[in-house]
Amino acid sequence: MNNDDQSMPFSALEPNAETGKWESQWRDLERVMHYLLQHTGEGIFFLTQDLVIQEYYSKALQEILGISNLRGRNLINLLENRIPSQIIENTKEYLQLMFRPDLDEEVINELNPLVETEFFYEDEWGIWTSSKYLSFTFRRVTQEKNIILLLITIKDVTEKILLSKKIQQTEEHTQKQMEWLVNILHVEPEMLKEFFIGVEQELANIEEILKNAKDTKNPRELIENIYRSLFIIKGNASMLDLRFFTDKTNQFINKVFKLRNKSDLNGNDFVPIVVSLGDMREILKEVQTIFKRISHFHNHFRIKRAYESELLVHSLKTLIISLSKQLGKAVKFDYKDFDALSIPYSYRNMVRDILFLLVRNTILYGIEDFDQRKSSNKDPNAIIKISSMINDGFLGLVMKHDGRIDRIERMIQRLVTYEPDENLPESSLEGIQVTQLLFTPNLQMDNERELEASYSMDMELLKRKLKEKGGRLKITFTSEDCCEFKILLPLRRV
Amino acid sequence: MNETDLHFFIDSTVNYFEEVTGEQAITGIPYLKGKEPVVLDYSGIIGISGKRKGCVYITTTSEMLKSLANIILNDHQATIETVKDLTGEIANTISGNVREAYGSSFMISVPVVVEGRAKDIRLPEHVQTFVIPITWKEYKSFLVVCLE
Repeated sequence: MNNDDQSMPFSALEPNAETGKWESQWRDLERVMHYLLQHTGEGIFFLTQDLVIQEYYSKALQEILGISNLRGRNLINLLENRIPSQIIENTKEYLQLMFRPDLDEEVINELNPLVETEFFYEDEWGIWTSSKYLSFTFRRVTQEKNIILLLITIKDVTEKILLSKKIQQTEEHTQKQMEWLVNILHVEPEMLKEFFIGVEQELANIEEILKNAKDTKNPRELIENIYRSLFIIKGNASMLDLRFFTDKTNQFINKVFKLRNKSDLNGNDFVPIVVSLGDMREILKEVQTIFKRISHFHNHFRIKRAYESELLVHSLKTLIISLSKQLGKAVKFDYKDFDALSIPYSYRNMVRDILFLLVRNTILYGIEDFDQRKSSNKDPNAIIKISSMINDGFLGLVMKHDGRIDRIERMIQRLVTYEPDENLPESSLEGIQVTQLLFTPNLQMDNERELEASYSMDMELLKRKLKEKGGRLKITFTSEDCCEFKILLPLRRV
Repeated sequence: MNETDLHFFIDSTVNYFEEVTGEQAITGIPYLKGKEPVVLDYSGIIGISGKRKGCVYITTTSEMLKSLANIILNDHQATIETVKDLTGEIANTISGNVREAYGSSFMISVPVVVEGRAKDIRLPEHVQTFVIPITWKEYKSFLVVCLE
C-alpha cells in the first residue's frame, strides 16, 4: 500500500466554510489524535532516519517500554541492555534498509529482527528483574515517494509466547513424568515415602561432606564417604526396583570411581560430583511431586493390617517370580510357617526390607539356574522358605534356600560374624579379605568384584540396621545344599 | 547447569588472579548452596539473561581486596572506593569472559558492587546454586554461580 494514496477512510480536512480558517479543524484533529494515542493499547511512535523518536507517541509506549519522556531519544540507545546485542546490531542494519526507497518494503520486513523479542526491565541496581515479549512492526511513511519516517508499532505478546513455551515444556515434562510414574507405581506408597526420606538423608549427607570439605586433610576419605551414601541409595532403589534411580545413582558412582583412581585431587575434580548431586536433587524433587499427586488416591483407600500383611507375602512372591524368570531360574516359595500378622507394626518396614534383600540376593547369587541344578542332580525347582517365630522376647525370621553354597555366601557368613576389632584367625586370609571387603567398599570395576562389593554392601547395610535395633543375624549352612539366614529382633525395643 | 559451564566460571576467576598478580588462586571443593547466606565484605554481581537466566557473583573480604590493591595499584592504604572498584573489576573480568564465551545471544549485565554482609544475595529459587571456595594467598573468597 502506498502512503500517498488519497483514498483514506475519513474525509480530508477543509477550512472553516465561513471564516476560511483552519484553527478549529486543527484543534479537532489534535484532540482526536490525542484520544487515539491516549487510549490505544499498543506502543505507537514515529522514527526519523536518525533513529530518533518523534514528539507524538502513544501513552502505552511508555508503559510497555517502562521508560518515560521518549521524545527525542534514540531508539537503539533505548534498546541497549534490554535486548541481546546481536539483535541490536541486526536492528540497526534492518532500519537502514527500511529507509532505502530502492528496496521493497515487504521483502525487507521479512528480515525484521524484532518480530518477537524478549525485552528486559532493570531495577535500580541495573539487574534485570523481569521481562516481556514484544513484537515490533515497521511501516514506511512516504511523502512524494520519499521515505520521511517509519511508523513503529509495539505489541505485548508475552501471554501468547509464554503459553506456547509452557505447552512445549509441559509436553516434554509430561513425557518424562510418565516414565517416572510408571517406574514408581508398582511400589507401595509407604515404602516409597521411606525411600524418599532415605535418599534425602543421604543427599544431605553428601552435601555436608562437600560443604565441610575445607576442614579435611584427606580428600580420599571424602570420596569413600560419598561413595557409601550413594551405595545406600542404590541399594534401596534396587530393592524397590526403581530403575531410573538406580541408573542415575550408577552414573554418579562412576564419576566417584574416576576420582578414586586419580593421584592428585583438587577442588576442580569435584565439579562433576557437585553437578551430579544437583541433578539428583532435581530428580528427587520431581519424583516427590509426582508421588504427592498420586498419594491422595492411596490415602482414600487405607488398607487394613491383615491386607498389609498379605501384601508383604504377595510382594515377595512377585519378586521371586519376576526375578527367577529374568534369570532363567525356577523357584518355589514356601511361606506356610510365616505369620506376617505376628510382626509388630514398628518392625513391619524393616522386616520387609530384610526379606526383600535376602530373597533378592539369594536368587541373584545363590540359586543355580534350571540346567545347572539338573546337571547337579538337584530338583530343578529351588526352594526359598521363610518362617517366623516368637521366642524369649525375640521375633525370629528365618529364610532358607537350597541353592549352591558359594564362595560369596561363605564370605558373607564370616562378614556378619566378625566385628572389625575382633581378632581373626591368623591362618584365615579369606577372613582378612572379607573384613576388608566389609569395611572398605570395593571400588573396582571388575564385574565379579562388583557383585561381591554389592552383596557385601547390602549385608553391611543390613547388619547396621539390625544393630541399631538391637537385633542379630546369623548364617548357618545346615548341609552342603542348604543355607539358612536367621534374624532376631527384640520385641522390647532396645 | 553442566560441568562445562561451572569449569568455565571457575577458570575465568582463577585465571584473573594469576594474570593480574602472578600468584595462583586455588579452587576449593564446590558445594550446593543451602539457605545460609554466602556473602563476605564486598560482592560483585553479574546478571545473565536471554536464552538462559541466572546470576554469578564473587564475594570476598576487604583484606583480600586491600592486598590486591597493594599489588595491582601499588596502593598501601586503599580506600573503600578503591576496594569497591577492585570488586567491580574482578566481576567485570568474569563478565567479559562470559560475554565472549556465551556469545551475543546472552545478555550480560554491568557488574553491581554490594557492600556488607548484612543480607544474602537473592537468587532464583528454582535454579541450583553452586558455591566454589577460592583461596588466594591466605584469603578466602567465594564464587557463586546460579544459571539455568
